[in-house]
Amino acid sequence: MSAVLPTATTRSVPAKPGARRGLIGAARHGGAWLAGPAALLLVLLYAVPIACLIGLSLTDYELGAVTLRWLGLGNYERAWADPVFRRSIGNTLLYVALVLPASVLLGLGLALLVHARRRTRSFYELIFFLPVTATLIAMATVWQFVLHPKLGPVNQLIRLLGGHEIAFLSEPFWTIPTLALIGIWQLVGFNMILFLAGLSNIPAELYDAAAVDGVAAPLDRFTRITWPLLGPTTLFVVVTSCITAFKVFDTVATLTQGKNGSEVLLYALYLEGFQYFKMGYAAALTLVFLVFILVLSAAQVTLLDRKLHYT
Amino acid sequence: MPHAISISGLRKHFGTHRVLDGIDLQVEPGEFVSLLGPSGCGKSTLLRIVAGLETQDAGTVSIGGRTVDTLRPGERKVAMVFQNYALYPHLSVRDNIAMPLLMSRLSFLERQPLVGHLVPGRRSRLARIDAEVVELAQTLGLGDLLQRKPGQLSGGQRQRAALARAMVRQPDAFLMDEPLSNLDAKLRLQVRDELADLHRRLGATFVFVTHDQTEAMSLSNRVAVMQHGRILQFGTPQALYEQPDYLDVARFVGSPSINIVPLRAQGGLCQLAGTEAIALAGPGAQALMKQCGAAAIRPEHLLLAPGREAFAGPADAQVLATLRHAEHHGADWILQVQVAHWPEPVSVRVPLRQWTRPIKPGDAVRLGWRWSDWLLFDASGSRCDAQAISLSASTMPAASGAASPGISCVST
Repeated sequence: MSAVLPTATTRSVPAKPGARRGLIGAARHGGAWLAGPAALLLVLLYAVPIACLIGLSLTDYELGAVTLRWLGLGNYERAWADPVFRRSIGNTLLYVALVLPASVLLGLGLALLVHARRRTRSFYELIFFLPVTATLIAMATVWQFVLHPKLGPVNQLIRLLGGHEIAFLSEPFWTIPTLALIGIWQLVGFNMILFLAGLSNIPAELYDAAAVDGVAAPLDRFTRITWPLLGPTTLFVVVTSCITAFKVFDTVATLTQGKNGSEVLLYALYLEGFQYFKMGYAAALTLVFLVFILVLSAAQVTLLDRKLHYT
Repeated sequence: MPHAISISGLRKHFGTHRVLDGIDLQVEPGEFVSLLGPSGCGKSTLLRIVAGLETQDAGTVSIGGRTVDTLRPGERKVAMVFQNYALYPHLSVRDNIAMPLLMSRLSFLERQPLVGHLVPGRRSRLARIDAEVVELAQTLGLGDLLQRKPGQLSGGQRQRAALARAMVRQPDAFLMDEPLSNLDAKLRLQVRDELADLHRRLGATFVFVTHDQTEAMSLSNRVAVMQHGRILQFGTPQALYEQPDYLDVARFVGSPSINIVPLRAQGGLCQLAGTEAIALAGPGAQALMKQCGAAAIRPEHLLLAPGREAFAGPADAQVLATLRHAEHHGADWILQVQVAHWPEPVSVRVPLRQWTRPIKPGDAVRLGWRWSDWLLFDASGSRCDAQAISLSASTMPAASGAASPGISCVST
């Protein structure tokens, strides 16, 4: 009986409008206090820098300059007209178009193969994950040797098979695909680990039920059970791979320095900002880069999210 | 058309652990058979081997006279209901139920995402499948839930969706792996009734795995009690309850569980600790006299009266005891009573109406029984057909008719 009484009194509280407003008002204050520190950090670490960036991108500020001039959209007009910048956007998009599907599909394929292993699974995980942990700048020198026109084993093999040697890192036709190959090599292991985590989350009982229902062929099992249930993982992998691919920089900086038709967005930005010290222009390019990533990620999430199932 | 399932000589190891140790089981067409046992006894593994989800090390399984050992699960024409239902979380109830039909009625090419649409006749086959799914769903009360995903269903609705997916193919047999254990108590009773009803309606063969003896006893035509990878006893619920072959079966079946009192040898006779000496009669009596295992009696076969004085009634023997604890179980009281020198208190089931005088824990009571109600087990735990007979003069007349040949047997 005593348990009924408090319920009755709490029910009577909303009947008095004043008390109710007081209660919610207190909750609102408390909520503001609780959310405050996180909101402050968010503003300081993200909103303010982006606002500064936008501000800078509208000026001709150069590092060390005493004065600066308001340009309005001048930097953007200049970037739009700049053939180097246009080429760097085209190259970056080509790079993403090569790296994204290959690294996601290969990562998935490797995960499916490795997931079926029992004893050797950790061995394969280690092997494929190594490129992720290795410093890319160090590995770039190895790649430089491997792909060297005269000394590299790849060209030796090509010569052995009777082909003409290919200067992978200096012929404009080959530079971006070669950089993309290195990018894929580095990203596949990471995507594989993510897909493995996704695969481990699918209950074994579902495969039992599927077996009893006659879902026997591997292709059926994949299209009916595995693939749909990997949806959330796939979305995550696609978005992160896309962003990583967009940020391609270190291989370009170490292997080609943006020469021979290998200009990419981040490298162009780096040159303008840190080699030529044109901070205003670099800020404008950064903003273009940010918008690209934002639009692509948002598009992927909204397009894929509708079809996904979350458990 | 229901099918028989026959299992012979089934063995299975997981590493060094022996899970199934020579299982023989004959399930008649249309029979509801439960595999009952504690967890780890191998009952689920047995069911999974019948379904084809595990392969046995030795032995054969045949369904409807057809040996299925080399067939894939989908080709065995059995349906399975899993403990966690195992509904496909990304598919609607409609698509979940349709899955077995899609797999059996569409060709491999027709099932593929894009090229499948090019195969002529696919659309009409799909429409027929959908019509069957909808019809079945309506008979199970799932008609309004067809578009929902499993995550949007209640426990009972999920259970019914899983049943519908099992039924849609009209399988030769239904295999159920603890399908009720995830439901709350009230729903479990309701679904239990629905299952019994379903079995009557379909007339199909059911094999039902459970660790809950009430479920097994109430649903089944026959129950196989399993322990350590073997079937201890396979029989009707009544046979298991009244004539358990082993002490372990007696202990597992019935709630509250059977009372077990050690049997002691005493000068050529036997004795329950602290009570009068008894003779044993009938087949196996002499062997039992030497080994002296245990005697067991069901709680409802014990008689009880408050106070210290002997009570009138059908009891052959009475002892003084102390009430430890009383539980109200609706129509009955379950009383825990301690007899001096007995290792554990015994449970006594007393109808509520018979028990009008108030008693409380610590009160003295008189406990009585008929010797013929005790089941006798030898030291290894197997039941003997022997009967206990009182030697005391006061009860001799009641027992003598049946027991006199036994006494002569004992005296030799």
